[in-house]
Amino acid sequence: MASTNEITVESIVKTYGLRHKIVAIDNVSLSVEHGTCTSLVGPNGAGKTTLLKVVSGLTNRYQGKVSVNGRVSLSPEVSVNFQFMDAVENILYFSKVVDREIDPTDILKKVNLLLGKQQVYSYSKGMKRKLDIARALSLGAKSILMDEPFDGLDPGASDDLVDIINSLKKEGVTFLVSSHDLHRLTDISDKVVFLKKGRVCGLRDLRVRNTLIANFMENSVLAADLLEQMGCTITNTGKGELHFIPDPRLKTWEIIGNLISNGVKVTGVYNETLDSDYRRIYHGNLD
Amino acid sequence: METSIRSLSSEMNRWFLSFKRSIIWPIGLILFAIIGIAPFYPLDTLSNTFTLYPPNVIVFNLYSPLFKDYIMAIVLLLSSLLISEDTENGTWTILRTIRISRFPYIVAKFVWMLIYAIAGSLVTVFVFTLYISSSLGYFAVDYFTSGIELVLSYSFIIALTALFGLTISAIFAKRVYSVLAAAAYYVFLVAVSLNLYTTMFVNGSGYQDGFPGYNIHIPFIDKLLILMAPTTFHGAAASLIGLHTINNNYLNGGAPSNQITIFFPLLFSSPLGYILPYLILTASLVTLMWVTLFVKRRFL
Repeated sequence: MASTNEITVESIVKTYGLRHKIVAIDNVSLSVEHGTCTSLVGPNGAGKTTLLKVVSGLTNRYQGKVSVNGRVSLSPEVSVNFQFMDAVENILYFSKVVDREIDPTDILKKVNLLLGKQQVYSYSKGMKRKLDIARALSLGAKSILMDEPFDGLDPGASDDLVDIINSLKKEGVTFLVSSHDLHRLTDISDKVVFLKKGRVCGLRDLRVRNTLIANFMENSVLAADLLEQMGCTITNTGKGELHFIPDPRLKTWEIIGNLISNGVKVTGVYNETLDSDYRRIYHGNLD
Repeated sequence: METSIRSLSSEMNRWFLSFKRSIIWPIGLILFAIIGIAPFYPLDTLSNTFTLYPPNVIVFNLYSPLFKDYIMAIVLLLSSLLISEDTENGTWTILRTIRISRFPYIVAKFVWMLIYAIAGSLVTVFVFTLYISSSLGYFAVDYFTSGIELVLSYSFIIALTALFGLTISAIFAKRVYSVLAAAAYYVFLVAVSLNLYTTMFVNGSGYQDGFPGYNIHIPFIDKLLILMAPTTFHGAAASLIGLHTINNNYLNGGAPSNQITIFFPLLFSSPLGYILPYLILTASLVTLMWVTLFVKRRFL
């Protein structure tokens, strides 16, 4: 996979209010590689939408540096298009403004949107989301920023959107997505950035082998030693639990069997998910 | 420059599509048409007037005040929607992300409003002509051409009103607020207009300044028109007042209506003085709109 960064954000600080008392983003740095999807996760008010606004150029009163390769297009939380135009008219409007010759049929096929004279005001949320992506493609955007793209979509429409995003990634389109839907983010993301009160408080690379979480009744220190001896990488330790990336040569059952045979009382082993990451980062524990 | 022209063309095209598909623009045209048949005077009264005065006098005298007032109201209300609608829908956000310039964005709306308002006014004139024609028994083309002249003479007023509406629209983020503000502004204009009486007297008529019958109410919009035509100020003013006082003249035995003195503030005492306020007003409005859009962009 190419490692060129399409979006680079360096030490961004964004404040609101006349005296800059409200800090929306506090020294955030991140990069998004070409043809990948990086997701922003965090509770409400964490600074996800503000960061998207900064990257999209909607706001320019901030400290730090944003570098974007080529054009970016934003799909806001509430999908926005010209209501009294159909899909073709909408994307032709934008392509004309930026002076691009496009084939509307080709673009609409890519986003699985049927051609027709139906005006946008009568579109479903799923169709509007697809049109947002079509608009970005008509603008020739190399990167697409999406704010809560799965919000209000039914499972079928969400699946459709996941497929579209993944297929566009293969064509080299880069995505920076903010969402609360951790399940869908797992399907599309290469990296996940966890934000809390405007700061990056966690980073998860979903391209590396899944991290395992093991729970122990006792002997967790011994367990950690044994795991390291087996070539596993400990990523986190908690009360009665260890997060580790297993040695790729070993099967999970081999690792667990080795622990048990050495006297470690293992009560559970499972893959670390975005959901467990989220609860660990924001609530400080796992259920 | 090329980008601006493309943006302008796209924006114009967008508004024409909106005209075809949105309900609000056809409703506006219907309102224009309704003005055309508004019963300013019953037809039987009009038929007496037909024999006394030429068509341009009839059109101006019977039609002009109400016509202008309604144009102002409609243009103000509709233009007050144009930018706030984009802000409310969020389309302005998208336009900003593609770095569309404010120049084509504002100009396209302004031109669209001008075309729409003049076209709507012509609809009014056409319906009005049909209304008169129904009494005369033939298509009164003289009334139609006089109406077109009237509309064109007020195109500056329409343009200025559209600018006012757009400025209001740029300030508010929701359509309902901008429409309410435009309505409030219109009420303010009417209120100001009602208080702007100009004392005049007719030379040789024997009446003195301040005689109750000659305290003529000159609508604010007429004053603006006079300001915009300084070279023909006396002629325009006399003609204007003369036509407005047509009934008074009739009652007064047809006293000459073209020798009238109007007292205006000192500011307007030179030809330059008439143009400057208009230019300053226009420049202020455009600047205010410009700054508003800049500030909105800057502080988001």
